[in-house]
Amino acid sequence: MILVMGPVDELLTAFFLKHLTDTKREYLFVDERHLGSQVRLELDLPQGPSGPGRLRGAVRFPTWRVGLEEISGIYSRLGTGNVEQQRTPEVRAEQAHAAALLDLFPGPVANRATAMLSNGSKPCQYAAILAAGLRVPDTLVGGTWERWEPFAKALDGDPVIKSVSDERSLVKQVSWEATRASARPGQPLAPHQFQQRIQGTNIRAHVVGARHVLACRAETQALDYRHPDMTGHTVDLRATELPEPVAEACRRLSRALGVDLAGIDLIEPPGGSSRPEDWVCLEVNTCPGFMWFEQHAGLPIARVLADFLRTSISS
Amino acid sequence: MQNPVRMPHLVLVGPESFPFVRDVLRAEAHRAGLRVVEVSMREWGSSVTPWVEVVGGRFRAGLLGPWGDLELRPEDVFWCIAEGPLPPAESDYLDSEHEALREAFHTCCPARVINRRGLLQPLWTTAMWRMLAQKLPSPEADSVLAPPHFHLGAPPEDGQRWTRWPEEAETSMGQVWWTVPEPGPLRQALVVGSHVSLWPLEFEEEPPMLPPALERDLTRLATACGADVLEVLLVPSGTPDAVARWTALQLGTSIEGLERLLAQEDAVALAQVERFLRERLASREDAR
Repeated sequence: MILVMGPVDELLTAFFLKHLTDTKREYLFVDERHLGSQVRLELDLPQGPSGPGRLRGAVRFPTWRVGLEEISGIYSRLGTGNVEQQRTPEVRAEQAHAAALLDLFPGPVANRATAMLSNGSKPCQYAAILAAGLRVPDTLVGGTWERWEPFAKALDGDPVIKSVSDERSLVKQVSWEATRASARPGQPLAPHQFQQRIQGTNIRAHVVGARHVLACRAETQALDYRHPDMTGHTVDLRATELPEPVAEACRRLSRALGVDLAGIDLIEPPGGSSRPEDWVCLEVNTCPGFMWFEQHAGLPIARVLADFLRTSISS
Repeated sequence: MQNPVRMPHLVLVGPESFPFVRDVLRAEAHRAGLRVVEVSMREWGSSVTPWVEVVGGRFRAGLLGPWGDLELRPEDVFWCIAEGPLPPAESDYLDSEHEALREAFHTCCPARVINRRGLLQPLWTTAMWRMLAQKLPSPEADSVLAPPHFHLGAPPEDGQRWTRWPEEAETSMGQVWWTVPEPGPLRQALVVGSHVSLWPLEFEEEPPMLPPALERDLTRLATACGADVLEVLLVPSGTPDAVARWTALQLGTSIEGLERLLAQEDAVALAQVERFLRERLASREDAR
């Protein structure tokens, strides 16, 4: 069975649970709010050779338990949904145990706690993106006006500004004058990420198990297609097939970052190309909210993910 | 700092807590013709801040400090020996941005980095007990080094002596217990590059020998952890017929053990670290 952990009222958690129910899949759900009170995790890792059978344990409820050997895969939305919860030592301990389970479980996990960290700093992903064969936008983070000036002058048009961390931010284009006005001579600039605006079509590729690539095209005039309403534009999401070399680069990237469910933001060059080095990767979302893409582009992401989480360890 | 013929730099962050190691680093940098730049933990993130740039797929990175803008290049060496939390910014959002920039610098800096940090390096983002559980035993059949038996939750009532794993700041709040069958005397291994040494931490009549199989496993462990310099607490353990003859109890990225040995003027430790630094300060192979 599939173990799902997250807040019951979080949109994507509820969406995936409904999919599992509708398709009559066997699953076990742990509401994040119950960790440390009604639900406890027990994990045992004896000495012995490394391998799938080493981790033993159970998810324990007040009157019953489910052994880890009954679980085929795990989907986690822990930490999402802005859950307000009193963080008692018991709650914190169980959250740590859940993070440990995600990292140590030998079967498929979307996603492991440690693998999700790379999204905390976008440039941290760039080395992996480049190694996978994709391009990254020209970028400057930090530095002074003296470094910003030649960087910005070499760009085609005004730079785009966005958060360098995984804090949600609306991507904006900033003018030369506005940035200069906010710069203090000799002082570091605010640590935001300045980038070349990339011309082309936004593509979101969801990669499941570093194997299945489900992509959609976001047609919009908005700079940040995720927030079209905030800029007065509409967005049209349509399923699309990536050229195989680009899809393969996405698989390589997911594998390199160790994520079993990746939301890869790409920009297809104008006129298209099948060469990965012509495609720009903006970032890899390691906790992707795929519901919006599934509902609007008809991509069967939940089904493919559920199939993957039912994959036996040996296959 | 822009000279016609630029001298390579050895940039150290947080060396002030390790004065004996710092002296060796200074001496070896002088010998190798590197200019030493030292940034204290207090300065790191306040008066000295990093920047990162990528243009055409090529990374550049540097530090802004009282000296101006120092770009770190592939011929430079960078070692962040110790760092603390960043000084608070004006908002939680800016706190996250400063932290993300620091992680970006650690990950992308094109200099030759000793013990590279960053979000892609589990040694700096994962609780140490979990590193031991994930990296040991090595999958090779000839492995002799194992982690302890770990248990999460209430300690088992099985007659064994279970010890609570110490809480690790920001990385583990769990109830983690560990036990080791028939542990022998406590020892410390020091992995420095490809060189390993073993030291007693309790009184022993004879200095402990380092078996080749253990040396090989410790080097594998450091490589698996992405560490150039790693301290490992371990005990010989288990029954004579058990495959794993050694249990690693703790990993250390701080160089407190090395500092202590150098403070005691230990010639073996000094030679070990000098050999590593001579190789590393002369080599170019780790540059990105």
